[in-house]
Amino acid sequence: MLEQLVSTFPFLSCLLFFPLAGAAVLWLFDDEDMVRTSALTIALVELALAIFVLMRFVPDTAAMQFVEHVRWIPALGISYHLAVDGISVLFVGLTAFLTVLIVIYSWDTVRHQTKLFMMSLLALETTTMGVFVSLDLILFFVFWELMLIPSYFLIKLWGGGAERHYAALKYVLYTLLGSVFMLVGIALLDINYHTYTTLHHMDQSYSFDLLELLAIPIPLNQQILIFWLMFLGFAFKAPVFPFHTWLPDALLEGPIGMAVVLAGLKLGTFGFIRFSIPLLPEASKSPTVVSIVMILGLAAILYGAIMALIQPDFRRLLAYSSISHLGFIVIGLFALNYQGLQGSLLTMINLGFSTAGLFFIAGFLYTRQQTTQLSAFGGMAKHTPLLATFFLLIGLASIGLPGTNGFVGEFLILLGTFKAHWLYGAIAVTGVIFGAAYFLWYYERAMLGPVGKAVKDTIGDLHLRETVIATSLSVMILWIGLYPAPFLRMMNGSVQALVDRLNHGTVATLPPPVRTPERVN
Amino acid sequence: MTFSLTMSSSDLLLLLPEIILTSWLCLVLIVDFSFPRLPKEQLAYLSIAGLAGTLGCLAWFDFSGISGTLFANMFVVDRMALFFKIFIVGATILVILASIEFVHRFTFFRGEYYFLVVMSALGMMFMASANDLLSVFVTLEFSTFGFYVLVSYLREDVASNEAGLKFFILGVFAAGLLAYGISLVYGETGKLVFSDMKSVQPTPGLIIGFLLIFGALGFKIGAVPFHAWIPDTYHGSPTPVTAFLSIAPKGAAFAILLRMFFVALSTFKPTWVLLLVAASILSMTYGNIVAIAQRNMKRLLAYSGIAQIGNIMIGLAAGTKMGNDAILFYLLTYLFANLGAFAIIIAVGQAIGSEEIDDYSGLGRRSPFLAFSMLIFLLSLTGVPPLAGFIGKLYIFVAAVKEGLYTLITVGLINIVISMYYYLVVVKKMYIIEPHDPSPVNVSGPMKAVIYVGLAGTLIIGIYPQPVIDWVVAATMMFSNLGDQSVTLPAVTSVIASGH
Amino acid sequence: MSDYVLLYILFAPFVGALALIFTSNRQAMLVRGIAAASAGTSLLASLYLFYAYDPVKGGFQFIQKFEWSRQLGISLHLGVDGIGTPLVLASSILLFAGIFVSWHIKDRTKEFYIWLLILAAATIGVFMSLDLFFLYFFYEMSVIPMYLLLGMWGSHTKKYLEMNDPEGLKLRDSVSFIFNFAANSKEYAAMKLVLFLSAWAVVALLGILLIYKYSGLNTFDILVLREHAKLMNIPALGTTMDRIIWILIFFGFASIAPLWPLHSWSPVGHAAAPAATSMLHAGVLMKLGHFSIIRVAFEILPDTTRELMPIAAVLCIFSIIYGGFVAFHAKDTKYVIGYSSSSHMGYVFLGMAALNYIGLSGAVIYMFAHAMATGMLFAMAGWVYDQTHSRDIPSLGGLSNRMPFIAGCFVIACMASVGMPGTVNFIAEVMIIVGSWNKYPFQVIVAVIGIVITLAYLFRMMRGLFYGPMDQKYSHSHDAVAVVDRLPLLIMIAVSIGFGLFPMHMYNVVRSGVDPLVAKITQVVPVAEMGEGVGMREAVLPGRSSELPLVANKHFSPTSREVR
Repeated sequence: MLEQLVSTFPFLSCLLFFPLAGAAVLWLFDDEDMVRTSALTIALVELALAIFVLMRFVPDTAAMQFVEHVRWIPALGISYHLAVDGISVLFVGLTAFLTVLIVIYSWDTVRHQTKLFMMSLLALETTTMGVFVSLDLILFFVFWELMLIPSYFLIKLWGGGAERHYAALKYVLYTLLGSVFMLVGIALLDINYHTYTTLHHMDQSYSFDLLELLAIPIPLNQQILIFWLMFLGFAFKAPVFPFHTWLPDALLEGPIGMAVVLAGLKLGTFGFIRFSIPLLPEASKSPTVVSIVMILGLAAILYGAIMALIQPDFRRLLAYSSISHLGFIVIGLFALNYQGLQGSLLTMINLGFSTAGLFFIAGFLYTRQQTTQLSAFGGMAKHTPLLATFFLLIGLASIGLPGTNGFVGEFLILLGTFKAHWLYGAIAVTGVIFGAAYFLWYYERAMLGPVGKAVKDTIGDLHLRETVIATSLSVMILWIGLYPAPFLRMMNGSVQALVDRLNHGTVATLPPPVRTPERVN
Repeated sequence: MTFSLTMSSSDLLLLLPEIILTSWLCLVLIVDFSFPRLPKEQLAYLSIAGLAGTLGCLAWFDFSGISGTLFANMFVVDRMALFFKIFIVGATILVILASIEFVHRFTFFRGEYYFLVVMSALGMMFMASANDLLSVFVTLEFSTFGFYVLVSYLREDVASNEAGLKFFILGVFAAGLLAYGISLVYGETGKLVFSDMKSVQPTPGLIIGFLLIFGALGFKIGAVPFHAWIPDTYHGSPTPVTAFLSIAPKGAAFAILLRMFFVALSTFKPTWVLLLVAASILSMTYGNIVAIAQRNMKRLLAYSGIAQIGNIMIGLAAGTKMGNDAILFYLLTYLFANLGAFAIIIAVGQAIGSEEIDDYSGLGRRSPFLAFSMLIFLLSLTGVPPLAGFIGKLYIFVAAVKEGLYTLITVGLINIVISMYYYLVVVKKMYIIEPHDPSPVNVSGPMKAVIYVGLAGTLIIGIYPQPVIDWVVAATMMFSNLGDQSVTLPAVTSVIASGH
Repeated sequence: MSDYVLLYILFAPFVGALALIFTSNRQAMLVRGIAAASAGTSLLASLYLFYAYDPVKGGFQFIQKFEWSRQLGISLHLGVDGIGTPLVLASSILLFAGIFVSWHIKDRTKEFYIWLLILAAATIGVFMSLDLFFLYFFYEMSVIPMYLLLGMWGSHTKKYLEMNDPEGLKLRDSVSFIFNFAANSKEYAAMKLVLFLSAWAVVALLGILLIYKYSGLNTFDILVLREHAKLMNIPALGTTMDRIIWILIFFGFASIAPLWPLHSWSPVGHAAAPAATSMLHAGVLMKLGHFSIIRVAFEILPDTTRELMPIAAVLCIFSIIYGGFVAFHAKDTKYVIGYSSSSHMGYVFLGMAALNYIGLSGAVIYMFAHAMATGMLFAMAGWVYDQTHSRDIPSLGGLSNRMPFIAGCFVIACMASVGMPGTVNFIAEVMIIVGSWNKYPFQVIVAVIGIVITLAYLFRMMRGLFYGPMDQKYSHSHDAVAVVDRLPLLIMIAVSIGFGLFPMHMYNVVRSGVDPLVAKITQVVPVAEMGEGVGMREAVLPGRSSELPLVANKHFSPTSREVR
């Protein structure tokens, strides 16, 4: 009975709209501490929900779970269709996790309009969740676009830099530029579905539903066109190499919290693995596409790494390093084999801990020196051993030292890439070396050696909240690094299904959902 | 031909309206002479009473459908004649109402003023019934005679005298043309009565003759190229006279034109259609374009009047019964709008002593009523729904499009837009520009009455024209032989309309 | 009630205007009350209409017919179909909102409301008239009030006073002044607007007269003409006459839309007009163009439409791009919004040019959506102008501290105007894109780029008005706190988002109007399209049920095609 109740309970909707409701509640409070505490509570409850979902999630299957399906605009085949599978489920947890940390971090670092900040943050969480859990392309697009509004204000109103207005607008415009093309792509999928069903005298003649679109073959030339249209959308968001110019600005000018979200949650690449590759397998396999994307990926790796190498500003360095990491993810994805896909997927999660973590570190540094310029540091380890330690740990994770999570991901990616083509792999490896170089060099200059002039003796080490953040991140890093099996098992099923689909052509229908019967509304 | 001058009672009956008016005319004169102390307003009301009586008599004729001819077809009474007579008498009443205030400007002969107005009205009534060339000449001169005096009534005013002189010289010239044309036609055909000329063959002399007659009538209606006298005369003469001049003689002249073209010349229609098309295009374009440059209200209306005549001639050019319906209808709408506008000019002139457009600035603040009415009248002259003018123009265009006169329609439509410009300039002055001195403008009772009549006519005809349309259609029944294509298809329409 | 609902909607504002004539300006509240009451009546009635309209039955409903002139074959023939209904609703919403937006007008309040009511009523009249004559009648009737509204209550654009013409104001009466494109005075704007619209209106009138002649039916009744459109192909001139007529009708009405080469009157007019007028002007007056084209050209000349509609597909590119870029460079808030409107109207033309179910429905829904979005924007631009007496974006800024409510609404309005998901605009845009891709992929790409441009200039304006440093001289400006000030914005926001989340009823209504039209134009009795739109999948996949497929299945069954 209880089981029945639980299995039919709309967890994902709760997960989706709880933060929004919370934001609405925040509106009522005026007292700052009240706002903070309640925001934290909301984030924690959300995290609990997410963990619950993760625990109830059945690993080793490609089935869609926690499915909710309500028809929204049947005439256009738009429906409110939520579900998680191996590909998306981990992101749900990650989002909730990072949001909690951001709330904690912003406790005292956000000094004005705290209420508004928390509200935007929670709204952002809702939209991000929405991107991860929606199976209807229009619904997905809805959240994808709505994300821009809170992001815009987060960057614009709480950003640290002087250029924040410019950065905010640039971010929104670039993303929108991409996503309108994606919208056309979505429309094309829809039209294709329409023509197919019309020809075969099937009934429902428009649909944006991922599962239904997967069941319909798409002619190759169409696939190519749609692929590039959607590629633009995701590439701008990711950002993949030539479309990345907004990222450094946004990360540098925006507040740390926003930077964590932007760098930690790889929405763009998620879009590739969620929609592009399954929907358009032939296109994704076609040599031209693969080679172009691969080259872009490698370019990103090298360009990002080299740029990172010469950055005196830590946040800018992180920006370029995450561009470089994105290169890794992309090549892993378009290796189009089991290892590659899984590695990329895992790396997306990893970066959620490591890169995001490094941004938190940057934030800690910033609160101490009001800048992240190298000139302000030097020999910090002497005064702030704790900070230095976590800095090192998280940093090593981001460059993929064995024993940290980064290693597992990058290793799988490289494996997959070598399987795809040795040359790509060979080039990619150099990226790893660069990565080690730019991080360690910066670390060495900032933390070790003689104490810099700008560093005062009064400088304090991590206080409680910061320690909490750093610790929780480190725990995750080590857990995935030392015992990745549970996470990999969650992915296995879906990744396997994806690989099968890639190998056995378009119409590979996914197995029916297990345990959680499709909700009928 | 033999003139039977024996008058039976029935003949007297046909002449009854004219007889009433004539006798009343003498009455007015006598009263004026015998009671010099009498305030002249009384005379005005006296003559209005007479005209009202005439109007009633005409209405009775119209309803009971009395018709017939006199003096061997020289004088005809039919629905069309009655329509025009009602038109003329109505216009005269309004003009007299509008002039009551103005008359105080005249130094003397105030009483005679009314006499003259009514007398020319009488002349025009005869014009409406003229059915042969002789009576055309006589009645036309008879009606014009009064105007020669009226135009130059402001004796101190140089402009008025100049106007009078111009009007006189050109008028006499026109009369000469008319006489010459008539003699030519008579010489060619030996006929005078329109209805006898149906079967005449076009000979050069005949054509020249008719061209001359057309020219003379063109002077009356002020169509290009016979418009030369209009601006100065309108400008100079006393405003009520201008109003009178701008509407009544044109109506009467159109009565003659209709008879001449559709009764006498119906055989060689193709020839004169071209003539009319040319005249109409010229009048519309010239009138409107020149009107743009005007700075004086009366001159503005003078030129716009030329353009309006051009519009009416589109209906003439259509040469169908529907065209004639449209002409009559249009004249009615023109009567209300035009007289209303002139009434306002008189009122404003009385108050601020100027007819310059610039002095209308801020009228909307000084007298909302006058400004609003002026707005309505001007928009009606432009042809903007839901006002009478719009229906009139549309009626004309529909009649013309049925005949495929596309050039004419195109020019007409373009001219609507041109005219809209200069009318709106006046509107702008009244509403948008702030007044020079914000003192309110007062309007006298009779003037209000005229304006109210104008407003009522313009709005009612605009919103529900059907009764008027029925009236004009009945008035031109005599032309139904012209192949009336406006036969509606009630069967089809109803079937389809009810088909859903 | 239900039979005469159209009459209520149409004549309530007229009656209100009539009543206002007999009130005095001294009783300001009475004046506003009457205006609001009449507008409210109209709004309620049109709400009733919108929900009482039966999309299953489709066709023209609530028909009223009164013989008006037998000789001319004119009758006051009113009726709405799925296309007219939402537009009527939009007009009455905007009118009602406009009454409140202009609540604080002090100068000649009475006259203002009279003309505003007449303007709106005339617009509504066009949307419901089934007689060519009355269509034109109301169309032209809606143009003239604009002149007075602009002229008497409008405002000069910036730098108007620096305009140097030797004779001072006199020159503004001369013809040359009309073509003086440097002029920014409200008189100039008003004159240009009216002359421009009338000039093109008479072109359309010529077309209408030709239809009247060549149908040979001696009637202006659209329903009759529609049935007998074949009579149009007279042997003498053949189909060329059709083409001529179509061109006349199309460009005559497209001028008010405004289609690209004919748009120049519009932004100037927007800039000069008072807020409420701009709302009606951009919200519904522009739609008269599209609507009349659909009602006249599509209904009566379907074949020629199929043949010539690509013209619109070509011109709309220029509308979108040109309007977008000019809006991006404009400094004056109202210019920005005005040009953005004329750019967005390009989308409607694109959807219309697609000539298929989704595209045309998208176009119609887009008209409704855009009415709301632009209405909001103009209302708030007007509010800012009333507060600061400036429309110059660079000189403004930081107002969000002074007027948080307005700022918030402004963000929502921008989002709606961009077509942010969750607003009805988004749905319309998706439909237009889906509908027109197969025929016009290039235009679709242009259109989506246009969306980005839109976002760019709207955010630019938003930043310029509400963020950044504030000039101290605006510190006295205050927020919209009174109910009368907030009500209009809230209404429009509610409508925009409400239909964005629950568009099905509107969609069904629109489709019921669009389907017969498209079926007639494309001349395919849509067998393959049977399941068009709402799924009959219910038959196959039981368990996914909703009330709509029932509607849909009946609605798209062949029997219901004969409804009209």
